[in-house]
Amino acid sequence: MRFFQADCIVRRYFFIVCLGVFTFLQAKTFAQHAPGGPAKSTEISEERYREVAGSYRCPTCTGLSVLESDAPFSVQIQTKVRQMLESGRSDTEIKDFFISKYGPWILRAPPKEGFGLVAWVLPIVFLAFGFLFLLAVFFQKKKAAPEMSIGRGSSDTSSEKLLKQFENLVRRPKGGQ
Amino acid sequence: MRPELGFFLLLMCMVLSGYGAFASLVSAWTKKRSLWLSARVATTVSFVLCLVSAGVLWSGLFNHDYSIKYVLENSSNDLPYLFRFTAFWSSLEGSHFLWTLLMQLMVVIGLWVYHRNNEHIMPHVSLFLQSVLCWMYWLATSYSDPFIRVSFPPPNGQGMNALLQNPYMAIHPPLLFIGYTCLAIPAAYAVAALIYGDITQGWLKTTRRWTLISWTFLTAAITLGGRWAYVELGWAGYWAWDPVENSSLVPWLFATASLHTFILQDKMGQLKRMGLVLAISAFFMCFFGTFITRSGVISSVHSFAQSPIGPTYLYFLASLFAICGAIYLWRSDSILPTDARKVWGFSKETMLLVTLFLLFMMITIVFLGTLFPIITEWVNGQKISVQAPYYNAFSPILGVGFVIAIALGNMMRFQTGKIPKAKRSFLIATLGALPLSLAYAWGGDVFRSSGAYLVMQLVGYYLISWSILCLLADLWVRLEDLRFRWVLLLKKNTGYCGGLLAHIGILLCIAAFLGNYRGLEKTVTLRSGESTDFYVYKVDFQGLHTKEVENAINVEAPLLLTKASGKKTTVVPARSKYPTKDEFMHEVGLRSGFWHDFYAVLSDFKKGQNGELDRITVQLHINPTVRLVWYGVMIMCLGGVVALFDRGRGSRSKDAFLSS
Repeated sequence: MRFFQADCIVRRYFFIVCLGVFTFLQAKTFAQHAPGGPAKSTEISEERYREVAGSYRCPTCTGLSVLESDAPFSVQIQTKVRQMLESGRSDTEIKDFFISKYGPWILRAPPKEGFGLVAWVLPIVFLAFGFLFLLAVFFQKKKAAPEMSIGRGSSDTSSEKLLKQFENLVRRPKGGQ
Repeated sequence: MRPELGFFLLLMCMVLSGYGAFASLVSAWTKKRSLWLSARVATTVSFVLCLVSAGVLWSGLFNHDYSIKYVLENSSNDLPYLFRFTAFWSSLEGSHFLWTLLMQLMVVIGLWVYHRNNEHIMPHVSLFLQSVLCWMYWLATSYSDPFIRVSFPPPNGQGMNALLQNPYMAIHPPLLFIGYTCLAIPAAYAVAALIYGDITQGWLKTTRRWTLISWTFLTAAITLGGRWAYVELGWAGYWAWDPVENSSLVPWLFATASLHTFILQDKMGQLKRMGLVLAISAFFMCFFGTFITRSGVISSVHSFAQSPIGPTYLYFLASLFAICGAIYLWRSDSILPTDARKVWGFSKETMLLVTLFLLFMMITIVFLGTLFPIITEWVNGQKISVQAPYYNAFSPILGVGFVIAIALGNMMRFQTGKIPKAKRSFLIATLGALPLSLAYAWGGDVFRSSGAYLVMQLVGYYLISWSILCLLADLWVRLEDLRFRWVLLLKKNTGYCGGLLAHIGILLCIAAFLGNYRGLEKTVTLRSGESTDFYVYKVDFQGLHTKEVENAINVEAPLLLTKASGKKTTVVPARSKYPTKDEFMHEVGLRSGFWHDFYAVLSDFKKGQNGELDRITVQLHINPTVRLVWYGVMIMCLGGVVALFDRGRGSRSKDAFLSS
């Protein structure tokens, strides 16, 4: 296929498009966790309830949300959430209420402010740097005379290279037999 | 009698391992072969003694010898035979003992079976292994002693935790520990290579083999743990990003990264130091995970009350980290790549770098998420929780990355990055993925979802189908080159065949994971004779039964499921009461199909009295494509086993200086 024999410019644009796709996907996954919801109304859908209630942890279990547990404490929280949604409160107001009662521990992910931001930003930073690093590696130019030193040593006979080889032979004794 | 005998044997093992470590050290220093041979004998004797000691504990369990505290706390007179055997590892002291026993076994195998070209680094390998073993024996005779005597043994034990009385939980710890302990040998070889100053001729072959065995066992063990959680805990999921689950996932991720690095090392002589670091890190992470969960530092379903092994584990980990780090910093410049001026460019090697990057990202996210609550508490005293939503925020992007990287990476060739017959392969993949993914979406009832979730699933299924077709197209190209003599491909490139299976397996697993986005749930209260409609089923409840099984009483609520086609099945969610525990455990009512599981949990029940009807509250779940996870993992494990049979990988040294 022509693409892979095409010159750098084409491949560059391909990777910029990829970068765009990845960024879009990231933004999409974060949009799902943004606070705020649809317009206030007392008629709440099951889906809306599940989305809001599912973001609070079961206080007496490990790893589960209040929806996934039938412990009395969780059921209490489920009822409270449903009540607050039906009386028209927004997601942020409900979140503030629970945080004021139980602390940020009641949420299932680190809060996106203060120190908690580190947990969100660090992976994105690594992702970005890694991506850029890999792009740089992909576009590394091949030297004019390709060196292939698999096997019997390279064709380059510069003195530094010979010296290095010699040094290594001296440092590492041939072993075993 | 038994406690003293068992303890004494473990003490002897510790002494022998200590001697073995010391003798290996002197042997490595003075190059005297006889000392290392003596160290090898010491560890063999230690293995025999450890086995006998284990036999003592098992005999105590089978004969209800409650003078051993561990037997008292973990078994009872009515415990079924299988669980008397598995009670060996049901709590902390026993599970550490099992780990030590298996480690000792692997050390013995590792020191007797090795490539003849590695003879001169074996003292170094023995030093590393026997030091670690000595520490493990020390722990088994001090803070984690299974042989404490009870002065006045009572007539009956306290019984085994009901959650552990399940065949999946019976087999999960041994498999997991085999996986962990097999990682010790690659780590030992890595440290030996650093101290010795070179990667020897037979190094890669041995290291690759051990890592592959470990990887296969870890894959199986982690999945069986998930299966146990699915059928036993009753929350309709198989992975909760629990700290203990995460701490078994991290060594698996490091082992996967190691295997991919070894390919580079084998074919191109590159990333040798990366391979060393990964081998050591994988081994380190096995203990690190245990440390954070067993010491009580993080609470988890596995953690016990603040146990005394915390501080000693911390010292061990800190020492291991410091010593291995120091050795690496001091000696790593003697390990050189074959071609220090290699240009990576657009090639398969770079795609392998992409794979490593994605795996490192996954490790970072899992590690960070698991430790973040402790870090936050340490930094500003605040308590926070990190659960599924954090990990699920990053999973989609990593998932897409893996799916695309698997396809492109396998298709591209080394050095040139060319994809042979690229036009044809991409045409098949791009066009063929459409009907495949649509068929899958139709069969799996994906269009029930809506909005972002629907788009995500459809895109996901398309990419996965595209990726699988790319892999198959690449297989076709390779077969074409061999004129379709597929037996030749199997014989000459077994590693490739294993890799193909493993990649297809993980792609199927990713497809199965996407099913979690369209699960259904309904909680309903039913009286005898009432029914409810749920998804494609009509669910009838006829009444409660009580049944006595081996050592428990079950309250069962059989539900009759009828589909529109008239097909009927019965699932029986139940609660079990064990005499030695107060709570009722869950027995999940499960009907597994390919496209979904019907999963019923009995939350509450009330037996009707005085002519009243029985009443139950059930949670009904539809869990899509759970079975595909198990199938995908089985294919992955098969791939691991197949790859083991490759005779050639790692045996052709690409090192310019030693190929003679």
